Amino acid sequence: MVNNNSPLVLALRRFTRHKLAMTSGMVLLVMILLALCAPLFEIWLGVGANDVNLLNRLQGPSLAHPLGTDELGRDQFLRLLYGGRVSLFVGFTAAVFSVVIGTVIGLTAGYFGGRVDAFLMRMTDSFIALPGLPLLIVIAAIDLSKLGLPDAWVQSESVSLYRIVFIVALLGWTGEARLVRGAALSLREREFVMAAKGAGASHRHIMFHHILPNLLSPIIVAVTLSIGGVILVESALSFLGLGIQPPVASWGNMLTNAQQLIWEAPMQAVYPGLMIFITVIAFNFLGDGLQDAFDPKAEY
Amino acid sequence: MAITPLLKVDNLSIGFDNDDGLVRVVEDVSFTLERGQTLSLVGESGCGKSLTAFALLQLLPPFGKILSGSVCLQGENLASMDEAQLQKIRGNRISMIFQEPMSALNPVFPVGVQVAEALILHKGMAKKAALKEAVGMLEKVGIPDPASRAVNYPHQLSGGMRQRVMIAIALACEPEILIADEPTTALDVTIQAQILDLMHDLQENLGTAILFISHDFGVVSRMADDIAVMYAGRVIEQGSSSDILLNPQHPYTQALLQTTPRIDASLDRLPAIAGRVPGPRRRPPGCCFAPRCSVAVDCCSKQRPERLALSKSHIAACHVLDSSKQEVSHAHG
Repeated sequence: MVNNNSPLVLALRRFTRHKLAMTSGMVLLVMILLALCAPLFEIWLGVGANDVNLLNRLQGPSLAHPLGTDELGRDQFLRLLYGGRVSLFVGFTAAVFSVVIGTVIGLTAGYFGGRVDAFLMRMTDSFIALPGLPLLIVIAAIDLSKLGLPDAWVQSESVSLYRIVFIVALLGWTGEARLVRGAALSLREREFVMAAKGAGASHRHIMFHHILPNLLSPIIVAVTLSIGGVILVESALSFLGLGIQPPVASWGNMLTNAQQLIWEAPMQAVYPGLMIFITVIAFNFLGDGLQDAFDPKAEY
Repeated sequence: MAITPLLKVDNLSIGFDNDDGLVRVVEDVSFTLERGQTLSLVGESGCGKSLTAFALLQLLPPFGKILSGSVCLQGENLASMDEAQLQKIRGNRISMIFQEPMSALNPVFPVGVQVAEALILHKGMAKKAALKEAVGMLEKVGIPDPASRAVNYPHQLSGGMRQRVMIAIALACEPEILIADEPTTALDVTIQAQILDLMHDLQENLGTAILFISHDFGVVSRMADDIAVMYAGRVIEQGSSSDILLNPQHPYTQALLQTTPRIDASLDRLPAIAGRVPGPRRRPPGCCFAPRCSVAVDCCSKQRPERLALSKSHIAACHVLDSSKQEVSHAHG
């Protein structure tokens, strides 16, 4: 028998009534699909995203180039799609990594309380106190080959991607840790935790099988909301030249390129800027919608 | 040599150790519980009933600790066991049901899963087999259509159903002892009667001993073989069900029994005991009940009354009890 009344199903049913969030979800879905299909568009248009054609510089929209070309004659539309892949990939993975770290630390602190809590939370505080951007710049400037990592890997194009994910996850887990800790602190006083103890459950079992499932909805909301933030950080880093390295496209480094030609070709800045704007705001609306849907005080 | 009782609590004292220093909350509680027997702890709120129950499972709050005395399950002292050993006993040999079944069930899991969990933890059953067994358990506690109820979440069930689920969880591993902490307080009267009958039937089938905690003599009289009346952390009268209900000796027990509504007496107002239970820090040096007692004499407020054996099964702690009775009981030894 299928049960249609699990808390998650009920929440999703409420979510579908939230128009703004549903629209945002659709927009993001389309964006993800387009980004995933980027190689197909390359075949269809007959050019690669990194193909330079100096005879075709700064062209307007046409059938061959739906959004025109940039200062090196590369197709803007394809570069936006590939930039979207980078932004969405970095956004998802970094958000998921920060949530995993934050959840484990917050859950441990909140459940055990006392000294464990004090130690972990002071550690979290000190991470929050680290000046973000300068630290990001320092970490981004580390020469990975000197850390003894294999050369082939260090020189591959994707390494700057992983580096960004690492940096953002390293600094991004603090919010989730505080959120989860607060919720765990109140959940551990609930009677069902006492009942689980009375049934002979171990601490680990209670933490991961009783408390964590109750935290699922705030965690999902936190992940969604933080993806938008991560995309902004990634764009900022790439804009500063510390993130995704050219020729690989990202929305951030497309903005950097557009800077010098802002009067000659303003649309070059508008397209990636608009993409960042739409994506971040859509994730925020989606997060808000999920938050309302998961609200325990909402009507069924 | 006497046979080891199933559960023997000996001079158990529990204290809270917080910023204001140590305070004794439960003092010198002793009782034994035999297989298939029901012992009821009765008293007003805040007199240490639930705390005593949690001490049996070694589940006191972080600032609470056992100051003296012992809790022995078939001769093994639970206080000296480590956490791993205790986890094997909790839910398996001693389990507990709570007053408020809604808050004691995890809101995000179907109830069948929660019954199965106990089986997986203690019997090492595979998930599928445990879920099947859980449905059987739900049927045993009288839930109609158990297979479709098993996938329901706690919020979809009524209060009585939820308490049945709690009982199913508690009895899944066929424990030797069931601690029921006011299991029917949150339920309405007809459901209360059903749940009490259910507990009674299951006790007869499984031979479980029940420690039944309540403030309601009406409920207790249906369930208990023995009764211990607690007041301000102490057992002030203890005896068989008929000793306490038909021949109460302590003024507190008498007063408490008078507050129980009776069907054969027509009263305009239900009698109440004036005043309230003194908190653990405000307990008077003498008998704790003296300030509220209608028959208190001088020495009541100065000296703690000793426990007197009134008959083989009946014990009470009160200065006012007939002195001739005291001599008789002393003569009995």
